[in-house]
Amino acid sequence: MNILEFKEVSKIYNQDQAGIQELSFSVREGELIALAGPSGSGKTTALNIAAGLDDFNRGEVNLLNCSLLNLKPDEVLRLRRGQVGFIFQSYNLLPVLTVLENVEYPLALKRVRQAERMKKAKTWIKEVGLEGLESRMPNELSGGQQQRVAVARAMVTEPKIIFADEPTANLDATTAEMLLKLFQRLNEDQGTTFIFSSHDPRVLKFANRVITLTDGKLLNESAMN
Amino acid sequence: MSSYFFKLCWKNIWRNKRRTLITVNAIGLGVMALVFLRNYYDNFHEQVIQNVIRYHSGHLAISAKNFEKNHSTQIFLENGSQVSNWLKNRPEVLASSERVLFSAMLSSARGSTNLMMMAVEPKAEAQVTGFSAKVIKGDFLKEAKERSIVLGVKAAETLSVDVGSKVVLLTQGVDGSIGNELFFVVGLFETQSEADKSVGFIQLNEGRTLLSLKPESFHQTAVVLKNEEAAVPFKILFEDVFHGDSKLEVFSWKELQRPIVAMIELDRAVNRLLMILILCVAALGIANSILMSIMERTREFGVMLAIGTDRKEVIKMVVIETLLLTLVGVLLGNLFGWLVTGFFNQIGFDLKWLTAKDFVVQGAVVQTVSYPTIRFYNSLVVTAVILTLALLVSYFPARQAGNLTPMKALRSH
Repeated sequence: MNILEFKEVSKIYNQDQAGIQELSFSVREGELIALAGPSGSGKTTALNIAAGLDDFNRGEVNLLNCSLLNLKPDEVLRLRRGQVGFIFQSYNLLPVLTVLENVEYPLALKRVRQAERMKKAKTWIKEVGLEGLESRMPNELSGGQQQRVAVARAMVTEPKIIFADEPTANLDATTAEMLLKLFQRLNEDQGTTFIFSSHDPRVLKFANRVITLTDGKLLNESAMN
Repeated sequence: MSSYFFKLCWKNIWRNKRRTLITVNAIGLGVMALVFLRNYYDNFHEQVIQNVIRYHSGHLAISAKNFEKNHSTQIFLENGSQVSNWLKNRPEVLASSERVLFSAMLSSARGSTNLMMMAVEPKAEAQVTGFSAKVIKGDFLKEAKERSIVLGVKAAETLSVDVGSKVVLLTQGVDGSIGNELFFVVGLFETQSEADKSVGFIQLNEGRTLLSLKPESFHQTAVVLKNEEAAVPFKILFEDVFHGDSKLEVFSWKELQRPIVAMIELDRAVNRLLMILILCVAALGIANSILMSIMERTREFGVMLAIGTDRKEVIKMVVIETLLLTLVGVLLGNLFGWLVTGFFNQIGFDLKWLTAKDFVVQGAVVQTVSYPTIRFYNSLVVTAVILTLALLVSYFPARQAGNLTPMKALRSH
């Protein structure tokens, strides 16, 4: 069953610059997908459109069986809050909150009661290997640790799909590998669909399938072992 | 909004401690100044009102028709016992004093002066006005002591008399006859007002005799009520009860002392203007602080929106942050406002260094020193106004934050 479908989607920033052009691909539930391609190939644009963060000019995007074209901004926001997780390249943790509070944030948005919220947040902090660092502030953590907090924050609501935009770009090779192994484990254990973008060929091996873009167009799709 | 978001708002306002402290200080100082000034002015105005009531008309003055307009001794109530008896039986009345009022020339061996004489029943007058308490030498009038006179210190100075001295009082009776009598000075009062040189007291019956008035006649009854607020309803009640008596009229102190009422109103208007100015400055400080905070956090708002925060939640968050910031300033401002008020309640707040001397309005002394008391109503008004202003100035930046598109916000630095 397809969890995400792009049908001839185009996004044009201005007359000269196209983000993506007539891009079509689909993602099945439970897949671990990498969007590959050099800088400016349209990976981030495609991810942002797929997550409902950005709009598009032509084509159709279906996310979780909802056509984003037919949804109002508030409905997209509710869809994101309920079933979509997003991991940013630069972590984007809320700087005034502790690790525990950052992970709690999406649950607080869903009005989950405090006791349950804390229990779930602690479980996910443990899951990403940050047990004992709950009361640390983001600026007291390394880049890899911050990104793992971001993963816990994205996973805590148990979304069906997680988008990660260049999640390893700011990490060293070892930490990047650890993070991608974490994606793999969560994908296998929880069945969560992951779509991450990267231009680094070393991290693409962790994906089930790689969709390569160039100049905003689909270059090829290849399954990985 | 859950406790989680309150905690987030609280942490947000303290992310830039220096800016928050400057804003809180600005709000706090403004609120402190306003709370203290309003407490001071309320007390000052009450003092003026009390002076008017205690040294002039009381809360109400009942007199013969047109007496207050013309101040002629010819206009008097021939039989005032009906009014006096009614007043004695009213529970709202604290005290009333019948007065015969006339101008007289007072002479001693060394000088003479014109005085406004008040012939009164000593006990009743002592309950209505504060003159008896202002006697600094000798005593106030006593019922048993005949031909006694009490003068102000300045009048005594003009006449070069002291307690025990003799003075001759000369006036014209209502029938045109000349009334004169020898009096003994039994007391001198000092109010630091015009009264010190222009007012004298003698016994009521002696005043009637001098003016050839019948017993039970008088010009005016001054009434002091248990509660100042009751003055207007009591006046209406009096007019209802005595509506058939065309010889009577009743005035509240506000009607008799219009310039003082006008002065107080003007003072209150200036006070309100001052409050608006101070609060506008505080509101600008709040707006500046919140706008800076929003500009710095644009990317963060983008993240919040991207991970599913409702726009309304973002707006609510910014508004609550503003209100929390303001509330901290307001609480501190009120606390210090009360402390300053309490301090000056003990030692007095004297404006003499600004005005140089006490000033007099309508013969009533307006003392420059005041002992303000804490009035929670003032704190409530200032708090309500500044919180409303904070709500107004925060709404538009908050809406701006809520209306950000996640992508634009995420791209900002």
